[in-house]
Amino acid sequence: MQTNAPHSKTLRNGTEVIAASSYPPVLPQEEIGAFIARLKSEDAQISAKEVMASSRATIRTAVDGYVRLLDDAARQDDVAAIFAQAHELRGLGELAGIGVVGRMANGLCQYLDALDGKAPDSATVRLHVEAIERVVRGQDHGAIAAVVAEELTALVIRKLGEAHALGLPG
Amino acid sequence: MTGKAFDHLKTLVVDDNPHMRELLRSLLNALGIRQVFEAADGSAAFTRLCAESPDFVLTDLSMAPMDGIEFTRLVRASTEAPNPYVPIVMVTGHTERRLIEMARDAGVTEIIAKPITVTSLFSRIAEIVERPRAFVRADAFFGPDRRRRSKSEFGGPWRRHDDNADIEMR
Repeated sequence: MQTNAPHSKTLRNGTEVIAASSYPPVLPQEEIGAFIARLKSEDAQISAKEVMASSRATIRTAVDGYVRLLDDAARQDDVAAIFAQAHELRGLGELAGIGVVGRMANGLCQYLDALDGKAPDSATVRLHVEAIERVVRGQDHGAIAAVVAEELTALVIRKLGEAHALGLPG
Repeated sequence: MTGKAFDHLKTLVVDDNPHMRELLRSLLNALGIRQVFEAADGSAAFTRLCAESPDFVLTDLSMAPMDGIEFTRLVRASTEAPNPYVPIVMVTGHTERRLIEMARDAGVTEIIAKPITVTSLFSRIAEIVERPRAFVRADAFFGPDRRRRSKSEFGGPWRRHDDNADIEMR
């Protein structure tokens, strides 16, 4: 289907390239400069950083809830639920002020995703869940938590290597 | 605060996580954008999009029953969509290559990796406002041109089979 937009061209293979000037802009041209100035202003940056800071406590409470759900899912070996809760944590950990939780959860998600539906090694999952719980409870933090996160990353690499050696599709 | 000029700017935030929706709404408010509509999945988002015709969309990827990729395809393909060219920024914790490629192939304009930061959000918004992308309509694709910039002085190498094709201008 051709658009016949006023500023478009059609390549010999039939592909139509439609210029941005053919469709409605996000903002009228005369307002773009003021908007970008607002976006880059110290005022907007400070307001946005205040938003991030004020959201932290609420998101931290939410993270606690997701960690409980992650633990429940791991106890039931429900891989889809483990992935779902870990996925929430990788998005929210940093926003809650505990970025290492986000990194650990991201590693768990990447491990499960790379298995492509194959059953995960339960000990690898359990180690991730327990490490996340220890950080959230305040038992591990700072350099110790960072080292644990690095060790978990190394574990995932090793486990995926073993899985691929056994013929898992790459 | 100098956001008054942007009172007419409308955005749609789509995420199944209420904390993320609230955070994104508050960050957009900090920019002076007051009309922020929300939806928790792609299906509800499409209904909202048809009713409100937002100027740009921020959407998560993983949602049920309709995810962000399917929502994007619907926006680009449906005759009911008020503006099939509307910029769609995907905000996702998924870093898996195949999902990012699926999002791109569905017609997403920009991708922001979670955890979201003020810098990443504001820079993508600046991009869609300042540098709107040309659109491409081909047999199996309708969406933003994957080549962000075309350099008329570019001397090669020519990798696309249609790079040297004659074009019909309108």
